[in-house]
Amino acid sequence: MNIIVRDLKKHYKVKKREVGLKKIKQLLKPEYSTIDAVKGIDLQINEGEMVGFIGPNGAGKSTTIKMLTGILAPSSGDIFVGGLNPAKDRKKLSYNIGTVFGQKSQLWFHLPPIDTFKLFSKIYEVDNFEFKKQLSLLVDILQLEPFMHKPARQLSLGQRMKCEIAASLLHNPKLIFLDEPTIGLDVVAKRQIRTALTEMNKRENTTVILTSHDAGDIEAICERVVIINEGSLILDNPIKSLSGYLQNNKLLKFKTAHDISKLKMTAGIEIVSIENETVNLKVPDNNDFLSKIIVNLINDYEIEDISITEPSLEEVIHSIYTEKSLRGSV
Amino acid sequence: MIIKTIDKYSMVMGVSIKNTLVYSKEILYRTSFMILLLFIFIQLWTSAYGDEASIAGYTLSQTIWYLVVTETILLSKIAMGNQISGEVISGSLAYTLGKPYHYMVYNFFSGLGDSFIRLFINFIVGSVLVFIIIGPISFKVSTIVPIMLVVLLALILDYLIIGMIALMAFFMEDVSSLFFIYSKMLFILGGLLIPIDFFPGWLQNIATTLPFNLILFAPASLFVNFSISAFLNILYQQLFWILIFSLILETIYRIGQKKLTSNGG
Repeated sequence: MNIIVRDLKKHYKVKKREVGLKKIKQLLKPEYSTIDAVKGIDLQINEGEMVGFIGPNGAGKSTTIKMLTGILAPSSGDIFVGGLNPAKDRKKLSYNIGTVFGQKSQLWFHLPPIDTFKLFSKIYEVDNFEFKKQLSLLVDILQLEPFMHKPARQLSLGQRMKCEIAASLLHNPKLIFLDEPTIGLDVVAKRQIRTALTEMNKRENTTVILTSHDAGDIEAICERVVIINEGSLILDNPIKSLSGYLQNNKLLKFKTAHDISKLKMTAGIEIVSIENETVNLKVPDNNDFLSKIIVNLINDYEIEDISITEPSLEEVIHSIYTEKSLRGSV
Repeated sequence: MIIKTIDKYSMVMGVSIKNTLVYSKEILYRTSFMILLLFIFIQLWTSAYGDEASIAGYTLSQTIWYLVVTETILLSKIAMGNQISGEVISGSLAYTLGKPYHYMVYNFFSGLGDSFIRLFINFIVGSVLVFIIIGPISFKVSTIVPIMLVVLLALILDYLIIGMIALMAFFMEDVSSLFFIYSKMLFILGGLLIPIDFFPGWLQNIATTLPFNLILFAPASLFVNFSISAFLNILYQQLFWILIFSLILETIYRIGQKKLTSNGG
């Protein structure tokens, strides 16, 4: 299922909160202020793609996802999901899409997940044969067998999230949206969920759209990353171009009491941050170059606690948020 | 298509029944409340009747059995009001919009499953208690089906009113005051404790014009004194109000949904 988004905008009207006498005025003649949550996004996602949406809180990721699933109507712009307009054909579309919203559980709390699965198969009008087939596939790839007959309330967070994902995939949707699917999960559970999503994508060519704070998720699952900040799309790149960035740079971290801001900048070195005498430098990943820099630093300043690390995807993203141009340094 | 829809919602009800059975302890607590209430009113009505054989056409035994039915319905009716209004206020109702069912219908069946279990248990417990203390009531087996139908329609009618109030949360910040008013209406004008026939004429007129009597009084009075004409009369009135309220509910729901999809949670 492909997605086409053209100049998508969403603004909310919010009643102004007033104090004192103005409160009465507000009752009689409410004044509104407008919040622009999404400010014109263009996007095309092809069938079978796995795309990660990242962005800080309040960036407009969830709002965009909600508009794509049809539970929020856009203020302007066009959306086509599999040729349908989600806000108008919400019911029709719902048979072909699956959603997992981290904040909203779909499982019946006191019942074993298997009961929710059966219920969902009826809600999505899946016939028995298909249901059994799909269930056994999901049980297999998410390894649900040990706990799907226990009441949901007794499950660990990871087990529950796996069941949430299974519930959303039972009707074999052509497109699945996951809003923060691995939030708070341990490494093992995260890995299983990532594998399952990749597996579904391989087998059924399911389009996967995922939002996450965890850059690791995006790295492990997605081929393409879309970064949204303050309602605008600031980057839409294949994930490879980001990992290229990772491989070409190292992060040099050290402590010094000296004023480092006057440090002579050789080509390619960049101060990422200076906080409480701790300095972070971004340096090109080149052994000779790196050792030269370190020698220079040690000669010129009193330095403690020096370390060299790979910048994580998270740091890359952080630097993108702070509007350091990525394209220039790749 | 229709079969799949029936299948869908009957499964919702089935799961809800299963879910209620998990709370077996809570059902017992509620039932003990019913026992206490009935016990008190048996004492009250017994002394109120004194030597009188009947009041407003009701014998003591009929009044007590009437109470069994009204209390059973009140304690077993669909309890989805707070959940719906909560989901409206928190905005989490939006998440259900992406599912192929009607939110209000889904919640009806989800509540109905639970309601059936309570109805069954409360009625059995209440009947056993009253049977022991007061004795049996004359009752024809052939009236079971029409009475059950009227009870079911009463539950629907109540759900529609509760639903309308709950959806008012789209426009108000707090609807608990409306729930409170409705429950008091049901107590008095619905004939919870005192059959409407006992009321003075003017109040009887008000009570029988409004729909509240169709939820408690109508099924209970039919149970203690069945007649085909009374049954049909109740049935028509119930269907009439159900039609009206369904239309209003659907309208409120659509307006609310539009508000939700245009302005978020």
